[in-house]
This record gives sequence, C-alpha cells and structure tokens, in this order.
Amino acid sequence: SRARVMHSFWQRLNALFFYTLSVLGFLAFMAAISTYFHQADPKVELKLERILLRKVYGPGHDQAILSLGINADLRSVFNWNVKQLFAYVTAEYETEANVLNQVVVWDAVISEKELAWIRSDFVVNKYSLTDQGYGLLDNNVTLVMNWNIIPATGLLTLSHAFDQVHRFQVPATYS
Amino acid sequence: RNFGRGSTHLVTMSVGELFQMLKAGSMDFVGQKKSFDLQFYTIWIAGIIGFVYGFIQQRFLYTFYFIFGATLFSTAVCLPSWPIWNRNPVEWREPKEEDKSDKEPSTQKAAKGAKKR
Repeated sequence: SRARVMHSFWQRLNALFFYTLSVLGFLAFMAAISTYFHQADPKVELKLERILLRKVYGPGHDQAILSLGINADLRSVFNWNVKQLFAYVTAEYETEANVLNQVVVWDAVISEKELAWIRSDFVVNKYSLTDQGYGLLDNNVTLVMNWNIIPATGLLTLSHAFDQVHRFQVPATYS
Repeated sequence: RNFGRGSTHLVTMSVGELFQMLKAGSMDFVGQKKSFDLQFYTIWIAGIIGFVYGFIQQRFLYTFYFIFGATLFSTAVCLPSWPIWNRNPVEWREPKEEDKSDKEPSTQKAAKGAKKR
C-alpha cells in the first residue's frame, strides 16, 4: 500500500500557496487564449491643423512644429487581457538620405477602456518633427496612428491604422 | 478523554485544549486528506466561476477576487489543525512490557521506532 506522509503546518501552507498560484496562472493563460477571436474596430481620424517650419543652423536640419487634430476611438481594442495601450502618432516621409523616416510626434498611455477615445482637437506635438537634414521642405508627410497592446498575459503586439492615415504637404518655404 | 475516534457527534472541547491542538499543528491522515480535498475543490470551483464571471465582465480582476477569496477561506479552514481534521487520530500500539535490565538503550530506541510505524 501507498506510504502515507503526515504533513506539517509549513508543508500545508506551502502547498496551499503554490496551489493557488498555479490555478491563478493557469486561468490567466486561459484568459489570454479566450481573447484570440477578439475583433477590434478602431476608428481613427488624424488631421494637421497647422505647421510651423524652421531651419536650424549649426548641425543643420529642418524642424517642424505641428498642431494635430486626433480623433481615435480605441475602446474596442480593449478586452480583459489588455492592461494598457501605448498609442502614438508617427510622421512618415521619404528623403534622399533615407527611404523611410518615421518620427513619433505624439504619444499617450491609456490604461482604461473608458479613457480610450482620444479626442484632441488642437494639440501641439509632444515631440517636434525633426529631420536629420533638410529633407522636410516641400515634402509629402503621412501621419499614422499606431498602438502597442500591453497584455496582462502574453506577447506585446503592435497595430497600425494604415487605412486611416492623413497625408499633407510641407510648405516650400520656411515660416 | 475520548476525542471521538471516527465519531460523528460534535465534541466539546475547552479553549485550552483547542489552543493546544492548534499549536501542535498536526492533522491525522484522514483529516489531512479531507482538508486537502476541500482546499483543492474550493479553489478550483471558485476559479472556474470567477473565470466565467470575469469573462462576462471582461475584467480579470474579478477572477482574481474569486480565487483570492477562496484562498482566504482555505487558509482559515483547511490550514490550521482544527478539531474536525483530528477526528481520526492515529492509533498507537500499546508499548510492550520491556525487560529494562539487560536491553541496551540503542536497541530500546530502535524497538520503539519500529512500533510507531
């Protein structure tokens, strides 16, 4: 017959603690799996309200200060496995030096579903659109909304609203 | 005092005796199994219910609350050596009559150890 071991108080405490931890871990994993078929339906609208173009001498580069209009409804991205969204707007353009320049001009950390509808009508960029050289003058720039989904359990993912971008032309003269 | 070998009646116990039992910290084998089963099923069932409720509300915090609540309950009920977990105490055999004059102390200890198994 099976040998019986009498457990001490500490052995029982140890068993209880790690048992509860493993149940919690398993259910967290199942929660992540349950969001596999979750459909997000973000509605994004980006606008450029105003642009101020400066020429910085010395090292020598172009710098643009943008006033953005952001209307992004990211509430449907949230599910019970989403801890936070890190949303950011990039300005993308091509120059002679680089095939793709991608500059983050605005970002926000969204921790709750209720706060996930970004309605900022006339917000100045958090980070100025600065080129490595003089490549901004009279160039085409695309504003794209992107967001990182930081899950409670699982891998961090990145999504973009490529179908809802805003394209504009940088002025040919400095402001 | 008979602490109820497998009895089904509630045994009255003084506070002092209860405190001694808790302090000793041991359960008998039957109580140990029952206690573990109770803890196992409590936490799992609370976890399943919490999972369903959390899924409906889309908040994993509620699932955590269910599991944590079940854990607190188990810690209070299943962890300490309460009288219900000591209802089937191990029946030790009566010590044999020993001839203390010619046995060595080590042989005596070995014999005692063998009996307790």
